[in-house]
Amino acid sequence: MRLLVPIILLLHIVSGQSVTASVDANQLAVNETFTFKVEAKDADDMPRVNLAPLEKKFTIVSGPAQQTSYQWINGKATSSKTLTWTLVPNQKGQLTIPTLVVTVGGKKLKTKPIHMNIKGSGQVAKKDELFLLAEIDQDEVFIGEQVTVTYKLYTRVQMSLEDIKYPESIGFWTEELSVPRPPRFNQTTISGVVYNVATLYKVALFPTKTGELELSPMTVRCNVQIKKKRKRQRGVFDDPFFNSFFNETVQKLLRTEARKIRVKPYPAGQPANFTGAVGAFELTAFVDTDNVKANEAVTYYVELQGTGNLNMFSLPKLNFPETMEVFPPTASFEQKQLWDQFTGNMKWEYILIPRQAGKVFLPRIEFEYFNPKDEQFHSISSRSVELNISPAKDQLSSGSSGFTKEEIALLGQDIHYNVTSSPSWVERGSREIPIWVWTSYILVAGLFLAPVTLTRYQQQRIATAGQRMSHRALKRALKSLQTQSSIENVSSTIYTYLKERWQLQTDKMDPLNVEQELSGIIPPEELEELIQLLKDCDAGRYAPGTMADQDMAETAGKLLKKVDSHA
Amino acid sequence: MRILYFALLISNLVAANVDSLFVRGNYYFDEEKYVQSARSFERLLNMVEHADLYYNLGNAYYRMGEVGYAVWAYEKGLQFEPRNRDIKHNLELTNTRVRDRIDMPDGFVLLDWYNAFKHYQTVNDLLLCGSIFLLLVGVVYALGQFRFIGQRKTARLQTIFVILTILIHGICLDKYWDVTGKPEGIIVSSTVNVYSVPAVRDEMIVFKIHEGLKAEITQSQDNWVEIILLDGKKGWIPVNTIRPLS
Repeated sequence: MRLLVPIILLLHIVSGQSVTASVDANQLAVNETFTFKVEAKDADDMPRVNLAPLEKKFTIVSGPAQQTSYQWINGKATSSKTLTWTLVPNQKGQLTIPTLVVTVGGKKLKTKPIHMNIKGSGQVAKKDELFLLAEIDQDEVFIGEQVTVTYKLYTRVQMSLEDIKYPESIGFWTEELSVPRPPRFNQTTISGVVYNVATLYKVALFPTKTGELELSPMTVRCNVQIKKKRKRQRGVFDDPFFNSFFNETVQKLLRTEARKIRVKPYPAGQPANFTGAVGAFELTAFVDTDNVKANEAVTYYVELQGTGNLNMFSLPKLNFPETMEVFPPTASFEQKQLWDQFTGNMKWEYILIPRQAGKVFLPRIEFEYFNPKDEQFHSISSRSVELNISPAKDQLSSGSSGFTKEEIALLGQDIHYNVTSSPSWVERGSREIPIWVWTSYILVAGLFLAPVTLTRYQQQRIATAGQRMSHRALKRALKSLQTQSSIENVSSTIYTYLKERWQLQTDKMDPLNVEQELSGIIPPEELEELIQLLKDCDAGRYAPGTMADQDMAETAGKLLKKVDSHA
Repeated sequence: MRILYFALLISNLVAANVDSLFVRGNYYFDEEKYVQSARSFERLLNMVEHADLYYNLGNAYYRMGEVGYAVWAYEKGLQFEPRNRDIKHNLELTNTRVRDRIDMPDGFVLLDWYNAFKHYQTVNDLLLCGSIFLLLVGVVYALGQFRFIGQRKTARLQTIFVILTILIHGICLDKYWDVTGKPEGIIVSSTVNVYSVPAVRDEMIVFKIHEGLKAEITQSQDNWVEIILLDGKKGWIPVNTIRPLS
């Protein structure tokens, strides 16, 4: 089966130099390796080969290995330089190693194409002997739920691991789970055949998006020892003891098949402060000491224990009292070894420095997570922590915060609450003087004016009263003269008239006085007449009978009428 | 009459809108949506003013952590009601979070008392007080004229009241000049570089101030204002970093 069929294609010789490409087998299965050689004869430098055209259909497992050889054949020396690669085909069917450009000593030479026939990988006989299997614990999960993938190697032949290419799956957060190193083989039986099984690699995958996600395959390169078929069937060397001397080592590439995982979104009812934790958790919070002094540091620990996608989410924001200085937390994670489920202990350490003595409550932490087992959201919370902070020894340091005593008393308080009832609005920009001010100004003006106006009015009234009296003075005087024409009456009537008519203030009335008062008001002739009359009256009073009373009254009436017209 | 009725109708409509905005602002506040709450109150401020409105706005800004804006709102509220205890309390509390502290040296005691007295009155308060004293002058004069009180007593009372009237009106004028003459502002940006010239030049940074600090605005030029702090430091800052109190 494992006949080595070297196909050597000789190329045309150009000026003594020639390049040859060859493979060790051209009939093989997908996962089998083969050796690809490029040999340059009579070359001084190592040839350089551009392998780019190869890389689509083949994977380079190792190489290039360099080799130089000299030969003398029939006294003629030949030298050759060889480059060797180990390749593995990527697909089945008729494949061709295309023409490659080889640069030797500045010259470009071409190799001839090589045709290969690659069979499918499902060669049962081979798989039975040695195969790699990826075991997935579940293929339908929620976002953030763990998928455990175990890569196991089953073998019935002597082999040794050469190289493992770990898969890198896109769309997953990968956490490696521990497996024994180097791999330990156990015996297991599959349908009556005993295999040696080793767990090579175990990962916990946490999908980060929904949809169909593909697990990329894992590739393992190993050396398998195969018994050489020898022509000589008999002899000492047939003894199993010597088997190892005649075994041949073959390199094989093992690959897992691609697997798909369906990722579901969360069911409805996601809480607002859900940060993406999936699994089952417990939360504790505590401080390292209860006895705290102001301005001395306290460590506040928040621990989250459980199984799930630890490391993939964050804690909700913690609200510390304002009297404390809080430094950003340091987070640490401790994974529990030897657990298939990703389990561990996340720890956050907050350093707090209380700045004020008194009782302080560190608020409880509310944490929401999704449990994929019962497909529900759960809420857990830590207890609130009470801290009794004693005053700092060093008063100076507390004073250095720049707060006054009153302000420090305010520090623990909160603002007062809003006014809820609508007030009586003031239109924007109208800073009006209140009506009370105007009213009082007007009132003051009124008060100042009131006494003045009142006096004026009174005076006016007094004045009009006199005028009215003076208007009626003549009438009354004439009436009085008609009724009683005695000399006494004539004299007093004249005096009364003059008093009323001219509003004379004097009490004492005699002709001399009257002359003084009325000079300038009444023309002098009339005044003289009036004075004469008054004098006559006076004379008549002291010497009765000298003059007729009737005449006197008539003269007085005429004179008064004359005088009145001047007013 | 009809015009008056129409005006009344419009003012009622405005009032209804205003009240609903106020209620909405408080509702957002209770829902802890402080940004929306502050926005409602600010919209309300375009139409009307009241100490309570500034108070609520200040609370919303305080909850948002906008110390500068909160101080601004409380200071505005105190302009309307200088003796409002809630506003005073919240302003003091907010001031503990202001980073810049300028300690003034103790001045002349009587002057301090005078300033404190002046600080706790509005122009209208003083005007009302003065007008009442003036009214008393008038009353005493009238009573004296009508001989209800003796001449000597009238003269004495009148002198007292006239002096008080002139004094109060004098203080009122002083306060009015304080309010209108000195434009002040509150720093609202968290950290502001103060430059010696109205231009951004690193070497021209005189000092740094932080949100919540009160400063007097002495002049402005393009997008810059010159400020003078209580302790006499002077410099230029961008106009959008300060919110004027007038």
